[in-house]
Amino acid sequence: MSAAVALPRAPWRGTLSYHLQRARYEPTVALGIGLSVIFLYLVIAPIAAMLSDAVRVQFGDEATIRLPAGDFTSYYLWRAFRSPISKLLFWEPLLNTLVVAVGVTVLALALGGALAWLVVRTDMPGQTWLATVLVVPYIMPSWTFALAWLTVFKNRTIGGQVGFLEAMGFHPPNWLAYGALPIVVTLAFHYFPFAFLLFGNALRRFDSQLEESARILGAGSWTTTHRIVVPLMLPAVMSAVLLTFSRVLGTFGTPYILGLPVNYNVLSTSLYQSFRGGSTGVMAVLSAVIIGIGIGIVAMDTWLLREQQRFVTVGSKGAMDRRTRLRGWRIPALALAVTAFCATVVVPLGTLILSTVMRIPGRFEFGNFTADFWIARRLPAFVGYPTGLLRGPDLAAAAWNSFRIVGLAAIVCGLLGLSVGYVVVRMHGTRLSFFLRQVSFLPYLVPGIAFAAAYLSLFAVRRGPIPALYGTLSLLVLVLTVTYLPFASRAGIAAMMQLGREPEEAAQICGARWWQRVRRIVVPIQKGALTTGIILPFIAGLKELSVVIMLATPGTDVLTTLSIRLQEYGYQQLANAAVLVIAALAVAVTYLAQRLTGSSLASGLEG
Amino acid sequence: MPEITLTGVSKQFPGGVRAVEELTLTIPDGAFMCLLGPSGCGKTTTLRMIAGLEQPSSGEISVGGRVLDSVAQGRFVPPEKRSMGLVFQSYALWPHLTVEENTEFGLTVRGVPRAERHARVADVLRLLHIEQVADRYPAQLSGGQQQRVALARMLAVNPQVLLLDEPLSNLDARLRLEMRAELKRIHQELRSTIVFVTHDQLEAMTLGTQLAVMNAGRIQQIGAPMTIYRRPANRFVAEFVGNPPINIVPLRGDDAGSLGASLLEFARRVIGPSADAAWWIGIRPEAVWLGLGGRNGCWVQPARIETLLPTGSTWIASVRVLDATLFGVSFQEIGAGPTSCSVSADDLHLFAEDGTRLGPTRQPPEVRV
Repeated sequence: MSAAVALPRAPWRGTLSYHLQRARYEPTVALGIGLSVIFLYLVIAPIAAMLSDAVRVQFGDEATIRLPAGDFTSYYLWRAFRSPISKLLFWEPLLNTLVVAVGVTVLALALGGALAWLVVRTDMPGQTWLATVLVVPYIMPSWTFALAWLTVFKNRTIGGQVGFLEAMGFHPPNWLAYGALPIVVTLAFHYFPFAFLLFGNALRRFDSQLEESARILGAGSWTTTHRIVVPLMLPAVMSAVLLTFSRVLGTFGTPYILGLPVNYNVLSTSLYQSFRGGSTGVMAVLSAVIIGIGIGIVAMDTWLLREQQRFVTVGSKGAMDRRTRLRGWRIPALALAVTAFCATVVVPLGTLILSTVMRIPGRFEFGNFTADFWIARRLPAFVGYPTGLLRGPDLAAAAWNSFRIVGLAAIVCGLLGLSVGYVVVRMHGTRLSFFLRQVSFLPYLVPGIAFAAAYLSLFAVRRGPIPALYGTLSLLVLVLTVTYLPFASRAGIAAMMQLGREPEEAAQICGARWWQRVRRIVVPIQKGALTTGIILPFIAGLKELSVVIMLATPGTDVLTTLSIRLQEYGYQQLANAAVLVIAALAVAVTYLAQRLTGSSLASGLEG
Repeated sequence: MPEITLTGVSKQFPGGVRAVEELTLTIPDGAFMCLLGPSGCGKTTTLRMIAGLEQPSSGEISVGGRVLDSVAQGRFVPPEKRSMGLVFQSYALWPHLTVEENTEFGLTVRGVPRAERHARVADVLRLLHIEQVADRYPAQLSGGQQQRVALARMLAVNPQVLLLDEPLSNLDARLRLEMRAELKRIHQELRSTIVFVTHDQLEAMTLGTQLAVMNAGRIQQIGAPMTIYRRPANRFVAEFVGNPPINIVPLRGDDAGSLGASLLEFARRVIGPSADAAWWIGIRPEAVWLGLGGRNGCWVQPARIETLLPTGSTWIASVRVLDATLFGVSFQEIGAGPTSCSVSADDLHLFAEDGTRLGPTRQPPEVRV
């Protein structure tokens, strides 16, 4: 620093020296730039690579297109949108996707909304208990319900073992066993808790003084509901609609299991078929479409939320308990809620459990029950998986992979999220802060399967110093980290916002250097937020399928892909057993995490 | 001991907000300097720049002759090396550390040996009367105790300069009064330089040895509290300092029989033709004398007391005089109804069109443009 005053010098040198000295003591800028570079590579680059794949000749297609690989071409666009097979590749799946998404959204919202009202705003008995258990379907893997459905309704038209009904002499028609109807019903069973949580929170936050003011001014119950409650709830409803819609859009497992037997494809399964068939170019086009729809939906949601802020309904006292008296309807209401719980949790899980202990499905005879599928040393008919699930090495290996990959991804994710929060809040108002906030949110707009496709585009081949990562565990760790980054960084930003800059600044004034402040002040205070930022991605990652299905290879199977692989082989009982293991793990970890952090993770699942 | 100088300091935030403009200020060694101004006037930004938490866009800040911050010279001393203390409005106590650990932190990061640390912490806690809560966490303390811990934490490292950012605004009235006395005692005991930011003019008047009134990023007036009260440099200072606020009577564009015309005529008589440059006349409420009849050399008008607001020790009266309403303060009980109202020539504050003071004195005023 002594040199700085030695001679008069050009003004820019003074400025440079000034900023260098600041950077020495304040590494936040460096940290922010580092994070930006990482995210540019892990978020932006894959999407860019995928978009470029959509318009460049891919390896292996040189003969068909008659252009050298890497040249620009509109062939894939033509193939997906205009060619004779475009109907099969794109238009039918698009229509099916819309049918499924609309169906699921309507059904899930009706069910979730009604239950939320019963639990939050009425005097129905058992509300505390129901508020917890009605979230369980959302904690289980989404395709659990699809497997349970097949276990009951699978008919003899597609070969392999039949379902309970067929075995008992009924013949379920195809429309009941496969395709649109079962996909809509089973997905709605999985997604209704999402609407339940969103509605429940909106209803809970709803200031009942607003309602009461209307009543005092002489409005009747109908007028109040019609003119006050509904308009104020509308943004929350629309938000729930759009978020459910966007989730259904990226779902892979259920449409794959229930649609494949009758060639009923949605965009995500069509994309997967293109991947299986090796047509990377078409896969890239389909991903781009899915991403486009996803971004459109979230943009609409953001716009709606801004509209919602026009109504400032902050009333701290308003959270008063104003509940509708159900009178004679209390018990029927409870019966309805319990039925919903049974239909979405007890029956599917019961069916799956039952199926794994029966040699021949649907034959309720004592001799037909067996524990072989769980613990047998040898299952003669099952080539490739010749032992009971718990006995063989595959489950253990997949579970170990799951814990390793998801655990590592969750930890990295939590740390990145807190770092993003730190930089965003410390540098509030700068472009760097804005960029980090936006880029860490971007993966949220990209449905999982499209993101996986993007990762394939970037990491399938060696690029510069980065080797081809396809088939490695590192790739799975990377993709899961980035998938859950939006949740972690949002949690991190919220936590740092709440803390503010001042506690750290106080330490700085007291003479603490940057690393002392981080180690002794910021991290200890944010321990809780960091834990949540790790646990939430961990739970979500354990049951993640659409992101990993294209990136996992038999060598890097995780629990979810193992279950799907068993299903593809037609080993229904083993597949069911595997999904039961995942569901049990997910529920157990959620429960443990709630006990550990003492908070309700249900609110976090809303994400 | 240190004297703080700010020379031509400006601060522009990203996004274009200009918080501080060309601020030049010298805070003498051992002063209790109050930065006073409405919210958003740049006083907190100025304090944070002195602490090093914000960087000026241009200008120079030095303490005791040592340049701490100057873009032009390429000099930057980070906050952790400035040996200052800063008490935040929110206190910003570390929730995961006890009162003792909070106070000890600054000594720990400086590598002070344990025994010395403990002795020093015990001293400071005793000085602030919080030794009995040493083992508690911040969440278990009352607002007043938290405030004392925030102060203790900064005093522990024996700062040359103590910066206080509205430290009393979250306390209730009684506690605030106690803490004011406490701060004054600490200032006298430690003889350090204190910079105190507040929007509460009473706090500034009672505590400061020096006041700097700020508005819109610029310093309006610097001086001793009573000087600022008695001779406000412009209309803004006159209106901001003083409670109940000063009466401002417009002099232009009024008819012959108006209050403004009557006051201007009086001012012209006692001050001379220079009063013609005035656009406004300010009269402090306590200078509006009610019911004392026509005193010599005073402006007198019949008046009518319309409403009375007793505060306990005084009576604030809204008084109808000619075509306007003035506020007056009486220290004796008075009743509503007709009375007379008089103002001494010394109590007139004349302001020019741009708000600059033209003077209350009989001497020819120094006109500044």
